[in-house]
Amino acid sequence: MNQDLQVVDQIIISWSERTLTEGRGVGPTVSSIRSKEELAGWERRLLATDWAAAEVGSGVSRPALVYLQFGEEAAVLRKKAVTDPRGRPGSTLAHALVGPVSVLGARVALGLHDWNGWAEEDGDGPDKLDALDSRELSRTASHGYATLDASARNLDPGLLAALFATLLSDPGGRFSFYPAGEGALDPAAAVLCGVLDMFGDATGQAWTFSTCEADEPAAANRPRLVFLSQAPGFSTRVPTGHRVRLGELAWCGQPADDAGKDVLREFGETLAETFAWSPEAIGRLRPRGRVTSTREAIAWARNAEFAPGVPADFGNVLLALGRGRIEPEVQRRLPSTPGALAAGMNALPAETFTRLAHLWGPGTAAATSRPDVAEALGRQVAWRFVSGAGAPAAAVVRSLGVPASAWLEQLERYRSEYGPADLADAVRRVAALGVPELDAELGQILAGMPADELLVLADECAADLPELSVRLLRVVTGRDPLPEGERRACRSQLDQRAFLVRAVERCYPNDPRGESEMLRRLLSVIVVPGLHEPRNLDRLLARVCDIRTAPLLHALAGAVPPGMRERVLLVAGNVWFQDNGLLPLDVAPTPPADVKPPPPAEQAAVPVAPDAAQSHPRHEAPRESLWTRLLRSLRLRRSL
Amino acid sequence: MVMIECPVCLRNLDWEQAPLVTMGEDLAPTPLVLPPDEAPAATRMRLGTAYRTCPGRGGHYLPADYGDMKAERITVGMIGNSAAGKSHLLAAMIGQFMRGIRLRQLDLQVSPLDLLIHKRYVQEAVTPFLDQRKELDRTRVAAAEITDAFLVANLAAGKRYTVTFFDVAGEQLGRAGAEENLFLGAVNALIFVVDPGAVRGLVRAPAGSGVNAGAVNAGAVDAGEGGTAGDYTFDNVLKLLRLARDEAAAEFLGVPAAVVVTKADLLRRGDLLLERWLRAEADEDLDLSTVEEESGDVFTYLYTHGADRWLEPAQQCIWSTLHFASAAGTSPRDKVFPEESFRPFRVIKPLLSLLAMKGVIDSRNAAAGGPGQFDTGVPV
Repeated sequence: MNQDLQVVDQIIISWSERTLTEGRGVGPTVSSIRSKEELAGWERRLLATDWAAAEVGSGVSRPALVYLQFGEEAAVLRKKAVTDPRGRPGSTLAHALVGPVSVLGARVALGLHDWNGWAEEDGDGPDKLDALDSRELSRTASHGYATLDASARNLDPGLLAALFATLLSDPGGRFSFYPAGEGALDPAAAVLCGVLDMFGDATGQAWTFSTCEADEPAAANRPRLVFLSQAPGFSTRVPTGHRVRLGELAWCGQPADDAGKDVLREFGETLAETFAWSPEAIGRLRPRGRVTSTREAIAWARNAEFAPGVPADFGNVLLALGRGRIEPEVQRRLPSTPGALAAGMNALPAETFTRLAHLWGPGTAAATSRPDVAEALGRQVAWRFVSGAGAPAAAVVRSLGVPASAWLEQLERYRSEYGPADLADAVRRVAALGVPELDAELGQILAGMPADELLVLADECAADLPELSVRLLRVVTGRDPLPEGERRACRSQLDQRAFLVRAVERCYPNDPRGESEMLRRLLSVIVVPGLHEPRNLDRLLARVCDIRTAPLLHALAGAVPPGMRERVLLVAGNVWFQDNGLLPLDVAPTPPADVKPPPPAEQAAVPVAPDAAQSHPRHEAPRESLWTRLLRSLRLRRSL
Repeated sequence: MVMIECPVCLRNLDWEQAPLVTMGEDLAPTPLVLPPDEAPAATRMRLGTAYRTCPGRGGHYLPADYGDMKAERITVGMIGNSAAGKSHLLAAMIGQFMRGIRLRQLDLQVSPLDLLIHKRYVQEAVTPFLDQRKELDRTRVAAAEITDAFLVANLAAGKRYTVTFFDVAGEQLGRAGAEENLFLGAVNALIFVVDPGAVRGLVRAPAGSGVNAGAVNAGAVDAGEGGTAGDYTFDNVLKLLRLARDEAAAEFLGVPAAVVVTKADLLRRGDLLLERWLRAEADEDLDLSTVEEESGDVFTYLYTHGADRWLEPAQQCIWSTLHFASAAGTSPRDKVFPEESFRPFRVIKPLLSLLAMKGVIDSRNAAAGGPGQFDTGVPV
């Protein structure tokens, strides 16, 4: 092997008049290995008479993927039957990748099942091979494995259940699987994915394998899992490993009582079902320690929990119930306490809810039979949306029909766990779902949320959820009077968001009165308490005139104290004149003499705040008269 | 205690104590327990279809009849390089061997030693080759196991023999390691298969085809591409056998050998040493009186063509005969031998010669047309 451990060598084994090791027949014909001794060593391993891994059995029409380990070294082979250069059938073309086990693991081997680097036909094969970069190969394999793993989820659960239970009956054993009918099991590689995902390294032995062999292995030096292309025929060699027909459960391990066998059979079903619907859930069931014997496998099956206090087959029971199996023996398999039920729900992967949604919706047999479970499901889904962790698709919510009460309960829970500060995000997530009847109840939940955040949320929701937006604004206007700090924060938001004119307009489409009324309330609660002097009113008017909508002017006129209203109306009148091509009437600036200047903080909070100035550059000279600015804007408009 | 040497791994078995198994309907081995009060006829039938288990080299099953103490055991090994033509020759040979009526001329009665072993071989090799004229798949490298086995009775002499055949991949025979060729230690009769394509100048190109013979003939190298180096598997097997029999220093190896120049249909025509045998009558292959003559011709033919390295078996084995034969009589096209020219010829004679050298056949009375004899060196 190459001295660099990060390199994987290649060997092509086929029939030749003269192989690279000086033989005639099947042997290495092309390789990246330059050392003859090393090459001969691999030839001895791969063409050993007890298990000639590189040989292709007659009658096998599909390529086989083989994974073998030799101490710290491993080989991945793809072999197929070809016609040799002399035209003789049943010859071998095997392409082997050899390298350290640390690089060539079973997952990498499976991930290479569709690798485009495999040699295809002898005649068209390469005449030169280079060593492969192990990192690049691993990347390729990783992608290939993910694809294979995804296809494995569609395997027949019955087949996998029998296979898992059979393997569990002798976790350290070797198995030869043969198909029930004609032809090899096409998805043998996918089945192996399932085995690797499920058992990992728990058995303490490498998962060596071959996906397609003509003959039942009869050697100690054989892969652990061998898939045969057909039922084994007569042989005078004593087979090694258990001979098992695919899809049938075979007890291959140490003697066990019926209860133990039942446990493994049921656990096999649980594993297969769980494997089908969730890789994440499989991780929860994987053994924590070694499982090398029948006894240890039974112990694993008995003690495996989906979550603390939750049986391993929790997800499957929910599915079974949802599919109408509501008989007591199925229901008994549910956790007995609400706490455990909730823990089980909490542990379910997101994709599970997709499968459960249409089975547990309102009115289904399952929901009618076990309303507590249906409610727990609804609560869990609501929580996931509220918390933003592992949320299923929105369609799931609609199918499950999560009631508004569940949403409110979970929002409340979220507020109590994370405080009101983050609630806006949670509400935003929930609001995006468009749950009917939900917005009406939000007021209670949002009572403790800062008013300025409610304004932000209202602004953001106005386009899609105007009703919720109205609710939020009402929560703010209902807090009259606002604490001074909160009021200032709200003023800042109003200024940054142009008095929420756009949002309110969306909340009251074609309803200028409603629009004006909401703006009036907002101004009354947020702005008016800060109008200590007429000069502040000038600034406010200037800002309002910039925005220049009738409902806003109308709202302001209604919101200010009677002493200021006349001035507002006069300015509004001039705006109207101007908009109709008339010159504005002269309006005397507000005499500032006998009024104290506003406190510095108040000054900063009015439209000259940095943000406001930035978004509205015309306010750079706050002391400029209203009329000067109006005239300038008129000139600007004409020049445009 | 009856000790039997396992022909696969050379382990000495206490035959009566070796576990018995039967093959069920699904061909899965199942331990056989003989009821103590069973009728003798039933026990004989059960045992006759059962197997003894040898634990050597991973374990293998031997037909229960293999241990028949009244029969002499003859184990025949097919020797030759990969693609030399061993498998086709053996399939044709056994196809002829099973034609009991012909062999009755030699006072031989032949029956399968084990029906399952024989059935498997017939299904995998004999029928595809002889009946369907298919080119057989290459023999794979694998642990050696019995290819086929027969119970042969010489009715005239009242003697019985178990004749067991081993046909393993040429690659395997070429490996120097004893571990992979342990079965050779049990072999006491050899058939060496000479691939004429490997001998320079022996093979003719099809007339006017512009294509060399090797291109259309399974297992033959291109005409003119052969060499003089011989067949390494011959050397290896002879060496291993000498070691196994502790005859490394002996002048001769005490095992009879039939050396067969196979694919004789491909040989360049016109050589008188060859022509006589290619034109011989069809039933001449049962006439053992001509074996000595044929052996001489083949020896001369090979020697004069520079193939003396292929004559090693004839020089090393104390008894040997040499033959021309062709398993198919023609070359395959698209993996099938053409029906019009498919004609295995002279395939049984090397086996009969070997059996004569082993004393199974009395060669002095084995001529098809009357008494004949050849000097095998075996006192009969």
